[in-house]
Amino acid sequence: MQQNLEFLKDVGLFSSFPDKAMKLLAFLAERTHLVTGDVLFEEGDDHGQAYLVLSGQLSLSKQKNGEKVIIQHYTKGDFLGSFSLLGAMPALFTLQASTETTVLTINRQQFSKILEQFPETTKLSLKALLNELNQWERKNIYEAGACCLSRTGATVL
Amino acid sequence: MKQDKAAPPITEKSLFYWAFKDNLKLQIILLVIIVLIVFARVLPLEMQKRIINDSIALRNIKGLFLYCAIYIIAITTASALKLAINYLQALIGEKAMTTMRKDLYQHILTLSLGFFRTTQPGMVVSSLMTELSTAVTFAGMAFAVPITNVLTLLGFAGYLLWLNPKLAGATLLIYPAVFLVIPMLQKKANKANKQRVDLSRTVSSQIAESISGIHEIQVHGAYSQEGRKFDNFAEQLKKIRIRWSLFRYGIKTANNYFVGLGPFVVFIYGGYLVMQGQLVLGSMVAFLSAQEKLYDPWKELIDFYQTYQDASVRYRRTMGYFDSVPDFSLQPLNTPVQPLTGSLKVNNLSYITADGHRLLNGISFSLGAGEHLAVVGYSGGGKSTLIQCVGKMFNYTTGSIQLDNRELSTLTKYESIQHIGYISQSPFIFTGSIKENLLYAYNAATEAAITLPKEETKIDLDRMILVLQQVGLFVDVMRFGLDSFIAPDDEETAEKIIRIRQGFREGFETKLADYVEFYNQDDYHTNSNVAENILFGSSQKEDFSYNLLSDNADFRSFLQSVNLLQPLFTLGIELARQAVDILAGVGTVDLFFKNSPVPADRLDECEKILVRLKKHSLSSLSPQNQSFLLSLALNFTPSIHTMSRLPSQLKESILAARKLFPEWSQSIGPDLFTSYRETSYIHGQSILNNIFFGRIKPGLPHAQEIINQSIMQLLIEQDYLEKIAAFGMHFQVGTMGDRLSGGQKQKLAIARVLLKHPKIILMDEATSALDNKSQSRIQRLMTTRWKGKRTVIAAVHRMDIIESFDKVAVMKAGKLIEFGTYQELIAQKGILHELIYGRK
Repeated sequence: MQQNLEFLKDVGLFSSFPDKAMKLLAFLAERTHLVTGDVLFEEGDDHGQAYLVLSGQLSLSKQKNGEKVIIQHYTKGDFLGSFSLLGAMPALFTLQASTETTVLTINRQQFSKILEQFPETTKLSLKALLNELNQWERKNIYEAGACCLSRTGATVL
Repeated sequence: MKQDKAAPPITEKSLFYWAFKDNLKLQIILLVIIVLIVFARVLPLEMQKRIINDSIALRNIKGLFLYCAIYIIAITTASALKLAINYLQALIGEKAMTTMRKDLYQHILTLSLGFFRTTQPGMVVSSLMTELSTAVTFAGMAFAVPITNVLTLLGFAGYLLWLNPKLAGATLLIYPAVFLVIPMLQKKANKANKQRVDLSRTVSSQIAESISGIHEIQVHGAYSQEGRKFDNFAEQLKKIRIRWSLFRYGIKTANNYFVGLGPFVVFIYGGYLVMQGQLVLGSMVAFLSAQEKLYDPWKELIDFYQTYQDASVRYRRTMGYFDSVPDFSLQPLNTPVQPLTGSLKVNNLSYITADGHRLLNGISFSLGAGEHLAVVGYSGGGKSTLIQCVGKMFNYTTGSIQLDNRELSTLTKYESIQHIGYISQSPFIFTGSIKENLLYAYNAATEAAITLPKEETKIDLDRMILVLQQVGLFVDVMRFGLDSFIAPDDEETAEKIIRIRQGFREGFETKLADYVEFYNQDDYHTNSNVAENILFGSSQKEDFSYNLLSDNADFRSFLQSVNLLQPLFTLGIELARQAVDILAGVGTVDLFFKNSPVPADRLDECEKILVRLKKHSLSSLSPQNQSFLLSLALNFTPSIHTMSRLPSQLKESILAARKLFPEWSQSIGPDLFTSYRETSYIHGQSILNNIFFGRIKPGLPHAQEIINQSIMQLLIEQDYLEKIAAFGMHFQVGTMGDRLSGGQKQKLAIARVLLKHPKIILMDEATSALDNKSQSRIQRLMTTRWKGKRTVIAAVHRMDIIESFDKVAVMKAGKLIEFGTYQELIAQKGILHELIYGRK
């Protein structure tokens, strides 16, 4: 559990949570061991979980014309699925383990109970998410320039 | 008594109807007893007079004894008869109310869905359980009380008139005055009572609404707002209740006053008559007694009057509330069910709600037998309403729906359920087992079809299993079966499972070695608790069950002898400390305590113990506290209670203790414990653990599927699949199915419809809670098994699945705006095209 706590402290979303909430989160988080090919979620599933990679590698892919196209890899320290902790959201991609992998899993129910118990965390996580969104916007829209602006609009929100 | 109508709906029946329905015989017996009691009551009066006039005055000892004997017999009989009357009244009352409740409940269940949209469940509950209960008192009284008391009164009055007409006339004069005052007061009391019943109902609804909407109240923090609403009602209720009570007690007081005037008249006028020599003293004593005795029947009559008024007010209000006719004829089927091909023709169908909203507007289409129709469109477009109309959930306003050229509205409900199966978006699962829920629709349909021979209504396990497989619930049911426990005396099953265990060892042990922690004499098992690790066995004796071990002095001395007691206390304290550190003050959320070694309700105790231990030694704790700490340690399971670790030193000590345990347990008593052996069944553990002779390791998601596959294969080899499935079907789903996941509930709802083989299947987004895999399974089932055999109408929100339907209907604002095959509609580039590909 102590280890879980150390790992979770590095996740942006939780970085400014109070100690007590972090402890509880670390206690609730479940360690899952995956072998190559294990599927965490598939396109269209509302899996309601966020994953922190502790070791190994996960790959995000999409079916395109019957073929699997790998979009991104995630490795140790990567945290994905923050949005699905907040509410129902069907996945747009498929997430699989591409090697033997250990992840720490937090689900929506656990997270929302923590938000309920520690009301200040709602604000903190909103702030953290906004921050992430801002960075994403900067990286993907602002810096990408004119090519994509016509499709996405000048800003997402 | 109004019983003139031929067969009025039960809500229009009079209160007397229930008092006499099926109770006529009892009521007559009651009447006979009553006549006897009147006689037994009047007799003592005459004896009184004779004792004084004939015996005492004439010094006739013999006569005294005779009259006294008759006197005592008469009053004894009267008491015994009174008891019999009370018993009969209770019997009649309870019988009447039970019939009333049953009939009314049955009636309520058939009322239209529109009725329930505006009715709070709490309202129905209080009507059935509270409001009707006054009727019990009344039904028991309905016949007996007025007759007894009127007869008794007449008896006394007649006797008095016979004694002395003048004096009798004077005393009885009081009563007509009473007849004037009391009804007037009663009328006012009734009015207040009516208001009270209505207001109570409003308050109940208000409470029910607030409690159902408690999430909204809490999230908006609208406590005081809701509180004010309630306060307002409570105040009004208080006022009305006070008024009501005032009138009720007013009636009692007025009555007591008038009756109290009786002796006054006897003394003044009777005394005068005695002095004048027109009346003997004995008669005046009899008069006084009679006067007193008149009071009881009179009081009972007044009580009866009040009960009747109260009961009939409540009864009328309650019945009036449910006074509505069911939408559909509920005539039982008396002809055999006619088979349908399943073709459907909808013509100019409209549905307008009671408050004038037009939800369906001139819908026309037809479907051949076995054709599949997907209904798509914007939400609020009328998809669900259309399906519910075809499902006969409410009556359409105009137009027609024809099944095989028979108009749906002419079919009785019992006939339509034979042919039509409906699966809703969020199906309701009832408390009970999987099997009971599975048979829910099937049983309803077969019970209605009374003409079927009994054998044909039996359904075999194979068919249930097939349906469960078709909807993809079979694996879940198997899992429920494997996780269940067998009865302690079920030797046969236990033996079979041990044989399966051998089969498992031979065929699957290596395959599953990564996922299961097998029991092994020499290993520490991280999926088992400390106690189980020490014992490596279990006990059939209650005193030695795991959860009581910490209290067991013998066991504690064993721990002491193997030097485990102190380390386990240390572990217990550590667990308590961790739990308090993480969980103290966070509220008792089940989710938080799922993996906590300390249950939520004992966290406070831990805090107190820890505070005490700061200053005092362990031995200063109370025995209960010590035992609690020890139980925490004994229950500690490293793989579940991840907040602490088990020191490796302690692990070694436990393994060493395990070796010494059998010898020690023999020394305490023979056969106290059964050690885990490959050849014996472990009671108190699930079937699956028994097959494994071990436990599954948690946190390995992929393990589930491999384990399921292997176990299925094993059970098929061993020919035991059906037996386990049967165990699984007895799994209790919990209140409203809360022990099932959303997907499981939906699959169960599909299965229960499939089991009755309807010709027409209506699906209202019936697969929306299913994951991709399960959804495709249902899709496959529809295309391979139902096409051409069962007509399907499905409201669909996912556009990617509609291609496999024969026809697609697009609805908007209650109208059918497009209808045709998928290809046709896509080609015409209309609304469907827009829904799928977006607006250009």
